[in-house]
Amino acid sequence: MPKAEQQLQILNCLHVFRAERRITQAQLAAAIGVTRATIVAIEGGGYNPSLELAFRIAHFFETDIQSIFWIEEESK
Amino acid sequence: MKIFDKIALYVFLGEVPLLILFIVSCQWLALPQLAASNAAAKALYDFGGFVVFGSWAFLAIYFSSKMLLQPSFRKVMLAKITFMRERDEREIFLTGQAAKHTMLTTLAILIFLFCLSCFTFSYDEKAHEASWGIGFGLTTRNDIANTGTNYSTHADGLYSYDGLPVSMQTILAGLIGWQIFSYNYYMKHRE
Repeated sequence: MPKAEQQLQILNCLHVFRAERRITQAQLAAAIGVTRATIVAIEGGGYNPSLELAFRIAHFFETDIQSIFWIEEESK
Repeated sequence: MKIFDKIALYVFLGEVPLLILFIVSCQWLALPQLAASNAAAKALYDFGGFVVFGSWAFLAIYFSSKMLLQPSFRKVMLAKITFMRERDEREIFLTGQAAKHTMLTTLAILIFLFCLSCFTFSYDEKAHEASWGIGFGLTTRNDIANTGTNYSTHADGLYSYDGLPVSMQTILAGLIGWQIFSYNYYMKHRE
């Protein structure tokens, strides 16, 4: 297995999208079919959503995934 | 869950307070002694022993064997008992992580207990001698293996059962083996 010299960190601006549309975490969670705790975890960076959930979030905000989620390289 | 199982579960849980009441009356109110002289007490004692405890024990065996044999029932029942929640992908992920953690810690505890139950140590104060040993027996009773007698005996028409005739070491070794086998079997068939 190749050694990764740089660690990838997935960041997001979900809270910004929510604030722009004045949507609560509970409303977003209900709309995309997850619990509010999951939205809290995603916004806090504690949980990286699956590709499917990321697509669902992007679809909800009528944008593409890269506008909400992006990767930042973290050198060790 | 089937209607029969739902009713049986309500009966099983509903009988718990009755069972506690029965045990309390047997322990502290001396119901068995009272039953010998009083007809009402005898009726109560028989009802508690045969109907309440009998049906409760039957249902306990029914539910435990069904959990063992039917995966869908096991999943529903044990998810309720363990408060397992899998409402979305994050909770499913966390459940998987928790299951892995639990499996590994259980295995570590079992191996530790197995070692403790196998090894023996003794120290003779007078002779100042210490000795180490290993003790592993498959059964709990040596007389069974030697005489070939069983727990159930036809003499006097008495049939009795007083638990599994396997030693603690055998159970622990079996559980350790099962944990390793179960995990690897599951992983191999999910690839």
